[in-house]
Amino acid sequence: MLFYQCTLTLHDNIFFATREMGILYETEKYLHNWALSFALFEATFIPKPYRLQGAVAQRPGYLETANEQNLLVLNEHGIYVFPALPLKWSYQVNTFKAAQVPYYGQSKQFGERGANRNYPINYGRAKELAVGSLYQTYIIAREPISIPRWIRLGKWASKIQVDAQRLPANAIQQKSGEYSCTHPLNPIDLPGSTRLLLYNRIVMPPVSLVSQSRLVGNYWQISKPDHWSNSHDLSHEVCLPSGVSYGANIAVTPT
Amino acid sequence: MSILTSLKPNFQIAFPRLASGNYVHFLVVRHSQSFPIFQTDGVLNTARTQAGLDASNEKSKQSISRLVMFKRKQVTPERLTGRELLRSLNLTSATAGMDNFCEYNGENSCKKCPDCILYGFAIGDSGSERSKVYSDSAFSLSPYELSHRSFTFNAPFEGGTMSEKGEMRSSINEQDHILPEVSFPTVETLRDSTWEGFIYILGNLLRTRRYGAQESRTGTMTNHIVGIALCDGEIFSNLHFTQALYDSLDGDTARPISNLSAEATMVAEKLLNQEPVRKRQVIFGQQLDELLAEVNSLYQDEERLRHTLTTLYEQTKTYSETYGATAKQETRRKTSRREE
Repeated sequence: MLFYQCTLTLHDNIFFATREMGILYETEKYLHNWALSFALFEATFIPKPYRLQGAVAQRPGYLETANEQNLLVLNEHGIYVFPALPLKWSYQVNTFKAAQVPYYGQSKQFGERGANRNYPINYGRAKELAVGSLYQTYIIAREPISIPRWIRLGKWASKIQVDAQRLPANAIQQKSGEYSCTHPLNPIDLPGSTRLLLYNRIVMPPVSLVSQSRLVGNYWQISKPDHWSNSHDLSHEVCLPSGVSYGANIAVTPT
Repeated sequence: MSILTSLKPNFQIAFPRLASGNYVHFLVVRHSQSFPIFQTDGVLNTARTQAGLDASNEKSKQSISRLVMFKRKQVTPERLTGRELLRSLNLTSATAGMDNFCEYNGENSCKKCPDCILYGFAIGDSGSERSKVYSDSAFSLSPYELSHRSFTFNAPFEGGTMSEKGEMRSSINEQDHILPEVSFPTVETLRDSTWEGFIYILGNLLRTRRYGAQESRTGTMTNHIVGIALCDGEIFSNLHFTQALYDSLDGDTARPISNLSAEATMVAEKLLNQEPVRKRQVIFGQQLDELLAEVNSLYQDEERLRHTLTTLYEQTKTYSETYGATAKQETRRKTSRREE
């Protein structure tokens, strides 16, 4: 099993509508591993059709084989991306609106056609993760893979720089028992044999993540190899559950 | 053979159903000519960034505020320029009820014209088309403090006065404007296009003159194309390009545009060599000048322009009929099965 440690640097603002409150749309500071998986492996492992229509366009099917773009294909290749932990982050709030040809969009007031909520429907305020924010994550792969240097993530398809480095085998130890995990995890991707004892919940669609968790099961302990300099930024030990795969915890088997 | 024709084999002959690794990156220095305004909340958009990339250089590692030109504020005027052209050639129409009627940003998008297919759309139940043109927020080369000024504006009576018959107008306000000759180094990306689509997007970049708020009065900008790279992957971001150029100029951003463009060409070439992508063709310098001259003459020649854009329209229409919005359900399902 190969481990890649990735540092993600935001070169543009990232926006996801994690929480919607009236006209304010807020982005969660953790990056979801499913979103990252699509961004990292689009058009290489996961096909990306240009045209989306009907049920496919309206309903996500992350773990459905019937959906052309599903994550199970990564399971077949033995690839798994963990959610990303924010190391340094800040926010910026920006107003957006839907433009029309006359360059002028009149906000629709409550009661007008199409406006059934008591706030204007064609503009909103996006609370975005600001440029310069820094994240860390891990990717597991069965065989060596090429990880793109630049990916596009979020509703604005913002550019992120990915610096990936393969961790040497002697930095990783397979262990079993009770352990703490500081890295965010996706509970649906945990194997059935791993039990979550304690955790903080990060509420976000499509699947809430957990952080600062205490778990029981098989895990990998990643520590800094002696010959590595501090520039590699592997300052503290990290424990990650083993046996993770997309949808491992729910009864969906690839057919 | 002209350089524009020699590029043809690098492009696909039809728009594909699935995304692949055919990227064209336009390296542009957007240069303000009057007083543009890029704002979303009553003040100019800014972001706090590192001045440059060099951590060992005092000037480079300082943190500065930069003006931001959001991605949608770059692509929107370019789309509208292209749509104007399509209408003027009668490829699309602005008259409701016509066969080729296409409405911007609405449920009546035609879903088959070059604008709809290249720049994409998303319309509730009618589904969506992913954009093949990618942009990235642009950051000013010079710091915010040196790149803007506040102006007062008013709307006087016809006589040029603010009061008439004892009535005072209240239409007076103050507004921050971006100064002329502020540069925004930019990479605009086109993916999986045909040769005709490439000409259309390049034309939109060359022909768009106004960006930002109050487009009919101010906001003139010129796009100086400094390079074109045909690669199999994404390349550096606008911020990276801006910071590298800042370092290369040693923070001295007040240079004439010819000087800046030359420097930007050098920086872009250097940065491109550091990217882990295969380069099918890279066009800089003399070769680029020739290419741009050819594209300019194509846009001046009514006949050739009409021919090129009609071909493009046929391509997007065929795409739409095969995989897109006007395809019949059965054919689409069959095609996707065949590809599996």
